[in-house]
Amino acid sequence: MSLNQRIQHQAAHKLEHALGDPNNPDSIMSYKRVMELDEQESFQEEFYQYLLSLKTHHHYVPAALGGKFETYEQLYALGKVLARRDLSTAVTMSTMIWSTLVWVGGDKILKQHCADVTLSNNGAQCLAYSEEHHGSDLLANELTATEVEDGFILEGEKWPINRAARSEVVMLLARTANESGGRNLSLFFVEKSKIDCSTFTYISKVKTHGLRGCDICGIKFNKTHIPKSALIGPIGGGLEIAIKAFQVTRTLCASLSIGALENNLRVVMGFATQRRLYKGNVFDIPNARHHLTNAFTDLLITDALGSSLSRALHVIPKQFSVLSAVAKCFAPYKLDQAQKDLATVLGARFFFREKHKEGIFQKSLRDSQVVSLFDGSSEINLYSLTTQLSLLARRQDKLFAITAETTSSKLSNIFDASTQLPTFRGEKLDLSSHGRDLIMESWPQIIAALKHASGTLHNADKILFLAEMVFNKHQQNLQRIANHVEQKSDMQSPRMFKIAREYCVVHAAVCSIQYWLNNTQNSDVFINKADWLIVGLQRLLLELNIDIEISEQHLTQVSNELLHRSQAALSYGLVPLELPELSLIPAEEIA
Amino acid sequence: MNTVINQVAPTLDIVKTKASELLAERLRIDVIEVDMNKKLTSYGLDSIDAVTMIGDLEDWLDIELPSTLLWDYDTINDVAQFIVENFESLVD
Ligand SMILES: Cc1cc2nc3c(=O)[nH]c(=O)nc-3n(C[C@H](O)[C@H](O)[C@H](O)COP(=O)(O)OP(=O)(O)OC[C@H]3O[C@@H](n4cnc5c(N)ncnc54)[C@H](O)[C@@H]3O)c2cc1C
Repeated sequence: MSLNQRIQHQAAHKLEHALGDPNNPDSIMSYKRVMELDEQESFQEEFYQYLLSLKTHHHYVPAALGGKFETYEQLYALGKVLARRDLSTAVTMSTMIWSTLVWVGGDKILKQHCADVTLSNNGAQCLAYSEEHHGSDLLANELTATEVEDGFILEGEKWPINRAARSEVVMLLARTANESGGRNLSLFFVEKSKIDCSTFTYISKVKTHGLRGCDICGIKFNKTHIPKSALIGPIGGGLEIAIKAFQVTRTLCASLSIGALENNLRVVMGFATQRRLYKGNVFDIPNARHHLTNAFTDLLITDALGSSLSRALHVIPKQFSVLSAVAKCFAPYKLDQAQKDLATVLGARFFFREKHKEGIFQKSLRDSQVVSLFDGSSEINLYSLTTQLSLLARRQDKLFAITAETTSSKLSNIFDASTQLPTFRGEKLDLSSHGRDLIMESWPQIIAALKHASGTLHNADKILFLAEMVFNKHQQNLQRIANHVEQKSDMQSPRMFKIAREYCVVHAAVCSIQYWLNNTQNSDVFINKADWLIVGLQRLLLELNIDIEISEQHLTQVSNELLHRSQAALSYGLVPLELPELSLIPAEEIA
Repeated sequence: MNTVINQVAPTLDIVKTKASELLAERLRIDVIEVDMNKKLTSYGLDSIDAVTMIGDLEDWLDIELPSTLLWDYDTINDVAQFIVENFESLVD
């Protein structure tokens, strides 16, 4: 069975076709309607209601509790589809993911209750961690939950909160103790319909540059009584559960950046192939084609990272203090840059809020920039990586010194997309990976596999050459970290932040190579021939300040595939899905 | 760093001494300045130091400690006591 027919892509494929061709103004989520709502800064109620009618929200509830959730790989695929249509709607729908807090920290009764509420058409959730005056400094939060005989009393406000007003459930992080340390905060499942509505008010919607229709506002509690049963996990367990749930959501954020780029690449390809200039079209201009090809390559590389890590959540959940930070730092960072390059190809139309595809490019670009900000910004995730670098380096240094090959069935379970994933076990998430990163530790295995494949797998020798360069750079960085620790230098220095960023880049290389090595039986000729991987690795090496020239033929193969997929209306990810768009006919003149 | 061989539970004093040394090393203070009953947070131990210190203890004893150890046990005495009392279940 080819990958695109496999279960992990079925729901995404179905949703694509239920949403129809966005170019057709009669489709429910047409570019036209998406832009109208954005212009009016109106909430996407009609889209949301339609998604509810398709039971999209059921995908956030485990099958064992009555929903349709089976794997994060499935949810990742769905996230890409939603984000491609309209990131505002994707971000609105995906607040359902905050049910993760209950799956991770709640008891049996609360889990079933949360499932029932989420499955009802009225169970929208919002996440209320942030406070205006404290931002990322969650331990400084002021909103209190004071324990009383029959529950808790809430006092204080949360801002800015997506869906604060348009939700039934507030997943609330509140202070329950006054000491310093990680046990000050507790989490609550606050159902608005069950509390006295005169005891809370909303802080009005904040004007935003992107996600303009979203309900980004705040909520203020004034002596609000909530029952004891609202507590998620133990008192003082709030920060721990909150960080663990972030490990899931940060990983899935990659799908939002990819979906937004998927849309904009298609929009710009439409322009580039139809816009006639100098007796040819824009796609014929080498530098424009270069930007487009690079964006396609970056999307594939990020998809390798995102899809592998969403699978890894089921296999090595204990290591997600590292892996979620890698996903959250790499995807928006890499793809925001690709979007900016695409903007140059779109030329003047980048600046218009109408004409070509109703001006959707700008909107998608504006919206996607939020991905690097919320759920803990990229900087916070880099910070989190810097806290773990010394342990990671210590372990990897030891392993690589004895060139230990990690021959682990876990690795093939993560990367071979045809293997079945075990059930996700939220209780295995951990605030520290204890220095482990199985994926990064697989470098010696990768090098050995590439040497072995040389001569049998197409382009394996070239990939080996590039892989060795990435691995050398990684080893140099491990040495730098060790020196830094030895000299007792500041682990939060800008230098360490840079090394943390490079750690993410190296990770993307590992995931891409492993994906390629493990899926030769399942992939199409383009993926197997690996020109995309050669171009991708060359671009990752650039991020590591290593500039290698590769043969033009690899770029040509990638740009040919890009053209083919655009014309045949196939999605741009590693597993091309048929899209409901009409195939591109490069004829009509662009307005 | 010397590793404890055969996974025999170390004595409370050994763990307290080692933990004090590690804390002093992290904070760049003299080990005699470490008060085993003083809250770790009052030394200004930040989260990076805390993660690294747990990692150092894990490496030294070849065990796996709960990531929230320093949230729940916040003096050297309490941390050492926890390790000694739970040693068997902490061996990976
Ligand atoms: C559109 C949108 C929707 C949102 N939705 C929600 C929501 O639904 N629920 C919710 O709880 N919150 C939400 N937020 C809030 C979001 O998570 C905040 O951006 C977050 O709390 C960070 O706060 P801050 O931006 O005020 O930055 P601050 O924390 O004040 O940071 C200021 C600067 O310091 C840097 N910085 C801070 N800490 C570190 C560190 N440790 N290392 C290095 N640099 C650091 C930051 O990168 C930034 O440059 C939303 C925000 C936006 C923009």
